[in-house]
Amino acid sequence: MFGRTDLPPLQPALPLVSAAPGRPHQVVELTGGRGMCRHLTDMGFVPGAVVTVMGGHGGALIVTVLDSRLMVSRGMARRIMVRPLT
Amino acid sequence: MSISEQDQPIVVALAGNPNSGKTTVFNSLTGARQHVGNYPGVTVERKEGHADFDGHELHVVDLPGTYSLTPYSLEELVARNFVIDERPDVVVDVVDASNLERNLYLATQFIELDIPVIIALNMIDMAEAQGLRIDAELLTQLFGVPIIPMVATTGFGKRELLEAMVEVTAERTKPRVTISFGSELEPHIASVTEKLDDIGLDDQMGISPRWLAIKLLEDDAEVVKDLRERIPEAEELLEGVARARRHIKEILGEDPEIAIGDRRYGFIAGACRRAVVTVKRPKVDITGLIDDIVTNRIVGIPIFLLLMWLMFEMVFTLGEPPMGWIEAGFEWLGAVAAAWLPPGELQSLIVDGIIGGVGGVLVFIPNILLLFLAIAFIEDTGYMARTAFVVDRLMHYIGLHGKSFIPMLIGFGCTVPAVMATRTIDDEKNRLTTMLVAPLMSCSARLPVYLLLAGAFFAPEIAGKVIFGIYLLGVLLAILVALVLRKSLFSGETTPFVMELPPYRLPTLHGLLVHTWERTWLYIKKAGTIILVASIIVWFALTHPAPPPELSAGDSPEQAPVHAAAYSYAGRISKTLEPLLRPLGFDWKIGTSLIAGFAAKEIVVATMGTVYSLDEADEQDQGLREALQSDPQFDPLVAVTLMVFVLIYVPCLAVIAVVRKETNSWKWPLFLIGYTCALAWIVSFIVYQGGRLLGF
Repeated sequence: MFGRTDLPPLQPALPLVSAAPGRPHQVVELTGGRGMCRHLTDMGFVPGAVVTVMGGHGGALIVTVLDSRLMVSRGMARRIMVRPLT
Repeated sequence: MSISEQDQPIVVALAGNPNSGKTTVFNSLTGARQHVGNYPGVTVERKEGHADFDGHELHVVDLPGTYSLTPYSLEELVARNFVIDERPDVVVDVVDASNLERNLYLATQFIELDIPVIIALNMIDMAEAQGLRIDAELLTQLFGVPIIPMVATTGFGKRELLEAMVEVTAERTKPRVTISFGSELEPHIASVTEKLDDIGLDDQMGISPRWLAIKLLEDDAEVVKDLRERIPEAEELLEGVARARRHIKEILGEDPEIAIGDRRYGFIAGACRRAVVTVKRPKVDITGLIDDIVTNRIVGIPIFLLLMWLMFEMVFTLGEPPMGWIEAGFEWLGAVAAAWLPPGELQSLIVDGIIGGVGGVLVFIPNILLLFLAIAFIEDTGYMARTAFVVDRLMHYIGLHGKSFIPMLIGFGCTVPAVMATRTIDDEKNRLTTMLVAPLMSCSARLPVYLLLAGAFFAPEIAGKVIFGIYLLGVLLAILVALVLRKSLFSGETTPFVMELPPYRLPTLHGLLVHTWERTWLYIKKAGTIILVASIIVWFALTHPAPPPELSAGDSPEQAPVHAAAYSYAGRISKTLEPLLRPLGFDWKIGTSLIAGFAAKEIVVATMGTVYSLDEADEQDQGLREALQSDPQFDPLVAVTLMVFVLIYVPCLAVIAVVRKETNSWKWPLFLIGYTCALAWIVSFIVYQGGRLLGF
């Protein structure tokens, strides 16, 4: 009875490394060690922040978050869970 | 302000994110009156300078760039420790106005620290060009600290910033705002603060107990460590903190450090919504466009190689004519000194030892200047950070990541700051690997050796290519050694990382000149100090003891200097080493130069200058290049082998010292000496013997 069919279904969270390039995503969760999570937070990857993958091919990714461009290693991008913004 | 306070200079700490223009602000404030750290390169050690303003003396300290007061890298630790331990009178947080929300994150932590702080809203012109209108007055109210709009490159706002520094110091103005962390977090912060108050820790440490409480809830390892060292009740207190952390995680569903960071961003976003208006969006994203090209998967690496190639071509071709003039100048000076001074020990010391040695090194100033100019350009435009991305995939094959590449690139300028720049690498194994291979990136001190030898034995159009080849060999060996180290001593996964890519900027002429001059001046200073001393020692070792008269009685004028040198200390040492040197095509003269070159690579050139100057039997002064050409021992293959050897073997004493300091043990510097000497010998042997077999 709460099934609001006019809204699109909630997209599942996926690691940033698998996010479609050029499309804005929202950070859902940070996984990984405590120091690393804090570092990611300090760098702007706080849950709710909007990130967009701008480039990357096999190696690290270039993403924009908080109005600046960051290079994120693939290992790090696996720990950032995001969801596409619709 | 009382008189006693005026006597003491005001200590100002410049803090800020990397790329916030902090160094430009520093240069603008202190002008020429700065004391550059020991070594050229990025700000890893603090840089200090002085400024006079309105009868006040200011002592300005430029701290390494940092994103947070909870350090993630060694470099950030340096910045934080200065602020916490040395208590500057005022902290100036330099903020990039065109990237406000990210940059203000650090500012919120200074406000939490409850110390006198000023925010310098740098690059306000850039922000306006991007269509941002910032209401600095409203922002000042919201943050409760003075916020001064400025443009460090033009000096706009500099006066206001200086006024604010003096005022804040005189009044000891602390932030007038307390950032609230919301109803879930505040009760916990309050209860930890209360416990800290009860202990009376703030009296002991002079640090805001609220800040300590926040850091404890963030599980800041440094603060926890400090607490354990200072107070006996630490364990009990930390247990309470751990309970609070668990409780926060239960109700918020996220770690307290993430929740705290989130509240800081929330505070900033709220303030920016009120004080910043976007008037118009820029039509084209220039940084994005450039990045699409230079980081492209296909052309990215070719573009990088092309830029490197252009750099070396420029250093060689543009540097050549002024180099010739300086060379002629020293030849003239040598001839004048030889004519004025009576023949004997003093004449030999001055003409052969000092002018031959130090002059031989100073000849290369134009090339060194051009090299540093090129590196400053790569750094100031923002391209240097991109190289980390461009090579990331390749670096993974050797078990490192792109971030390790930046210290290596700095290594082309000087290995000492390269070793220090490894502090930005947060993984210990990666850091050690990078530190141990960075010396293989050929530094500017080695360039004079190549220029001398390539210039003497190859036509100008080929010489540049030979030198580029030597640099390339260094890179290849670095890759090889890194691969071996990562497979043996430092095996394991690479740690993930995040790194900011600054927006592209057109460097200012002033900024480029300051960077270039700072580093070139250090080169000149080195020639006047360590190389001067080394030249005198080398001259002494080459001329003493003199052979007894009965030995040199029958010598012809050509034979005499050769016999004298062979009889000297240097000659005897080199004779002992001859079995090692001969398979590489080296004689005692080269051997002496290589031994002297342990101290610094320019000394190889300085020593050759002295050796060949002494060797000039006919007293007719000729340049070192011609002297080398007329030496039968030398031919192009020997020259190349010598370049290869100089590229690889022990970088210099300063590098050994800095590796010792950075690793805090003698193990790695000794390892570095051992492996570079062995590798130098093996590769030189292959080059020389292989070359001879091929008929060169």
